[in-house]
Amino acid sequence: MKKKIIINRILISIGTIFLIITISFFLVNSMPGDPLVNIMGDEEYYKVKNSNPELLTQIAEKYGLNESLPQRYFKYLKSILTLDFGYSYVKNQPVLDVALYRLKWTLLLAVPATILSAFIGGWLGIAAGWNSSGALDRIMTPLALVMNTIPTNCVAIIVLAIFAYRLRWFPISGMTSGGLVGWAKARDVLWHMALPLLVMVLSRSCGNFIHMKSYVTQIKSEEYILTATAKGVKRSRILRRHVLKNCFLPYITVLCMQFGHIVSGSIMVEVVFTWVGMGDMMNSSISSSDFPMMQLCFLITAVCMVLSNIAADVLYVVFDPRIEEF
Amino acid sequence: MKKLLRELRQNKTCLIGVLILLFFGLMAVFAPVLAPYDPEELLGAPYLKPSAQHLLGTNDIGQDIFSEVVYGARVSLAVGLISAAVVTAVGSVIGIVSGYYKGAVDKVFTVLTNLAMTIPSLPLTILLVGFLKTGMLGMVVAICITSWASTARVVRSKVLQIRELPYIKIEKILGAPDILIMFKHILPNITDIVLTRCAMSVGGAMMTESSLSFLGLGSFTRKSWGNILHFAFFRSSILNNQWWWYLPPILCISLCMLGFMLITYHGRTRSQLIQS
Amino acid sequence: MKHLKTILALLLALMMALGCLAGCSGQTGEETTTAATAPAAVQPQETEAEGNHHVELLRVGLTRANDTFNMTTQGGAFGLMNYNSFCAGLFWERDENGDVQPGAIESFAISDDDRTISITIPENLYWHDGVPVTLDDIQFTFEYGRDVLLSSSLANITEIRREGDRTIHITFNEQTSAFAFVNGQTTWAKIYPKHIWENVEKPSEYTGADATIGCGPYRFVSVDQDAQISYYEAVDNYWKGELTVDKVSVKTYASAEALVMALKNDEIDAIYNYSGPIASTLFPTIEGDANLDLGISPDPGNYMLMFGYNEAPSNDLAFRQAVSYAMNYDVFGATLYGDYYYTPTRGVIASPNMGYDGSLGELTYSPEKAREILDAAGYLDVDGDGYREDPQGNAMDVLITPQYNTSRQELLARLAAILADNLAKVGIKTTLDEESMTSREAWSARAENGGTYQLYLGYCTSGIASYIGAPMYIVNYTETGWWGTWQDPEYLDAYHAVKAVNNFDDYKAAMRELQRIISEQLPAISFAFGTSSFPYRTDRYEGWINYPGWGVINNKTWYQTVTK
Repeated sequence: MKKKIIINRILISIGTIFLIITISFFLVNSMPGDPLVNIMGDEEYYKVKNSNPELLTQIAEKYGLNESLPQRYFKYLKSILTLDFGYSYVKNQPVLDVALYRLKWTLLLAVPATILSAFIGGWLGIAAGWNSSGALDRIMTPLALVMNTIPTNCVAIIVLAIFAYRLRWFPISGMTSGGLVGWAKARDVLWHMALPLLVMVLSRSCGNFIHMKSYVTQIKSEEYILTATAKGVKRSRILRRHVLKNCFLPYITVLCMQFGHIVSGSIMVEVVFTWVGMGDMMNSSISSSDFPMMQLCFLITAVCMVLSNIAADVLYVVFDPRIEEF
Repeated sequence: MKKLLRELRQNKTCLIGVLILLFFGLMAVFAPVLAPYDPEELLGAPYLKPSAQHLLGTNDIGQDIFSEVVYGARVSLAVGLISAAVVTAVGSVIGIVSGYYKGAVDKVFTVLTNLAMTIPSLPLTILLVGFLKTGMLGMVVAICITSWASTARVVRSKVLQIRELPYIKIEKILGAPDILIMFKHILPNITDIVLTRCAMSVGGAMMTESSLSFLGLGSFTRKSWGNILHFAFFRSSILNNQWWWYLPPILCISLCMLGFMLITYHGRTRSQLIQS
Repeated sequence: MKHLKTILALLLALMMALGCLAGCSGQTGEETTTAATAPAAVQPQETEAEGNHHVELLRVGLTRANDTFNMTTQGGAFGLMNYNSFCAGLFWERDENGDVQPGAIESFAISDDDRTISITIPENLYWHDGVPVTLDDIQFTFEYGRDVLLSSSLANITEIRREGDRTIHITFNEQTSAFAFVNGQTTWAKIYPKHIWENVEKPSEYTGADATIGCGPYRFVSVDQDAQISYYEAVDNYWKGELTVDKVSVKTYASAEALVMALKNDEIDAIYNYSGPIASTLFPTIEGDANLDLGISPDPGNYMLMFGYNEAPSNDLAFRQAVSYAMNYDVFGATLYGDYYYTPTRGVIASPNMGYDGSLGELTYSPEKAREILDAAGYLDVDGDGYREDPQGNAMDVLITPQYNTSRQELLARLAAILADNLAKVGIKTTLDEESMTSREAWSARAENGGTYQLYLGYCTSGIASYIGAPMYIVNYTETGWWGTWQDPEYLDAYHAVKAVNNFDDYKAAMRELQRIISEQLPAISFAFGTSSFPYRTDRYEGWINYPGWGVINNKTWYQTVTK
């Protein structure tokens, strides 16, 4: 039974990815603007346009820009199957190479941020929810609420202004100083990513805290907990045996959704700290009409979302005993 | 009205939220009275520090920052409220219809909703803004396209519960028209949820607006808080330590968001009470 | 609970592994096998060995990414550095006075009929892989540029003829002036090695290690992608003279702010950025530091207001004159150039340019005079709403269309806001054309092919300024393909006269005539003349030569910069 549900989910996901590919293709390809200007550069474009207009068609041909939309669509589908995503108009490199390189840096930032905030937010949430109106709860809840209302880019700006510009404890941008190898480089990278990581952990932990706290408070008021308390079961045992077990499932779902946003969720932080990752690339490829790049960005983010949805579903099916009943 | 006031007095968090929003609402309405200058007017010297004449100094071309921030409330709130109204209306209608009819209609809408929730929203919004040409209208439309889904989902699940209630079933048997049942009998039962979602959407839309404006995808003629922050950031206010330029818009956005958040927090706990 | 602990431990391990991955990926990031020669220390060490004053490592900072290393494109930091006769052997380079000089070639000459360029190559010029540069390479360069790279300026070549082993003659048909060609190609045109490119069909997609080989004074060594630094070293016994800079590192920073901070923190020695000087908002930070020089030089390019001739009221001379008096040049100057601006003259061509005519009067700010002119020309506020109506009495709302450019968007928006304020003060109502500002398509529809704009905010880049200059933008688009709207016959003749000259004296005379017409008819107005700033450190090295609008990193840096 469980297997069937999982297979069903995976099939749906494949369909979703296909739909997203199609939608993003047509959106991107009907974007206004002539990519030729970006390919050739302003000055050359206007020079050629005036002196030798046929040349423009030749160049457009070279980049496959004058084919019809359906033609391009099928070509694109084929290219996805062969993992050949073409060349970036602007960077003169295979799009996949650029994207994978950028992805590496985004993941380096986003994966630790997600995991750290999962633990910090989760742990604090349990503590505050279990001991509601204790000291921790009274401090953390308003703090988390307030933090949750400040847009990430604003937090990032404030952190940047204080720790990088005023105190000069951390670099203001970049990912590593260069000329370093091995451990020295790892340390240097950590130093560079400290601030963006801090911002991401700070804002996500607060979100996780609120989620976890509300799960714990909810479960705490369930009857079986009350019964257990009445029966004289130790509080620590109730927490471990009943509360944590039941909070785990919805919390994992929330975390899975966060992993889905892992690629696209750090755009603002990347822009403020000029972290050269996927978010930054997505932003710049749109402003420079770099179609192949945009499409791949969308594909990657969508696949991430869908994969994490599957993961959430599968975890649910595996861990939730009630699903058997379906 | 009295009931509302009593409830407010009992619930401090909600009261604070309402007061914050009232503050910004008044600021927006009475902007011409409150602001000492026209935010578009050049007043002479750029980069003035805060003083009695210019409470928050002047920006890089000599416009009064305090006046900019006061007028900014109008634009930011307008974007938030208009988008939220549209988002909530669209989301609720889709939610009610798909929850009420079930079957094929529901399937189609559910697939649509799931799809909309799967596509990462900020990148899509950025793409849509590029597509729709910038300016306030484009931004509102882009926000609406990308954020109706969660409202629809919540409303639908609630409607699924309500449609099984006896009096709805009786209405149906009596042959009342579907439209009447949906909007006269079901809708009043979910106003709590719809209003909560609406407040959440305002916050969300304002957040998106400030992000987009910050990225330079917003309007250049209308000064929202995000727009002020954009110029502050990209005209080196941080390097030059002009905190009176970049901090006020941040504070306003955050406080305003907090206001909406406190209200929704209250709304959510209340609907939870109703449920249990 | 047990599971939870296991998961926790696993996740922690994963995180640490990721941290190491970042550390180890350095080796894979190096592109060439010579990675070992990459300088390990970030700080340069000065050696006074042999009594020379060689700069051991010159650290250049810029904002273009270190991502493309390909001689046939101008992409990436590598492409930008090659404008300075760096790795690439250029045919022609510009000196600090703006004069054209032979680059990696020994000499060149232009025939009297202005159709033929004769190029002579030096005897001892070698590619970085040791192969000598011959006439084969020169001929190949022109043919490859015309047939494979599809360069529009080479399409009119009719004949390539060799004379002996070192001289070659390139002849064009009547459509190309050889003099204008040389001026247009200076700082861009590179010599390509035939033995590398002759078999490459898609040059811009070629990523082989030998794609960086040129015949300039520096050889590409390696690149660290993660740190965005590329390394170069001097070629031994370069034929043009002693290179005083032994090694060069080029590092990419994400923003101008980051560049300035890096300069302050002694991470780099100088800032280089083609046509992108440091914004005036950053000056205070630099001025406060004794070890830094702002690197101020007169800016050959300038920002300007253009009038649309296809629309009223911008096609009315009186209106244009009134606008010229309504503009507060001090505010524009301060916004564009901080303290380092001066009032523009009426000729649109900025003073550092060879063709500049200093005898034309300065533009003046006088709102009273603007109001007088408007009153006299019939632009009166008939309905009493505070804004003037046009001479027919119809309401007037003038559109301000800034150029579409994502990197200059903030500045153009600021200029538009100032202009709107200035014009409002003399009673002219304006609206910002926001669509054109944020959408290339909308802008293109408004500006190109006989634009329908009224007031247009644009700029002349320092590259264009170096020869034909700002007058090109004004002339009707049928001449240029750009966005000009003016087709006054007198102006067109003067414009063609500039394109037909074959020496600098005639060029100056022709430019003077153009400026005279512009100053009388005011088809465009400069917002300000100013300076450009390319800051550099002064504590370690000397001998910097600051090229106007270009900075201290230029084609002479390699031979002149020495330690103190």
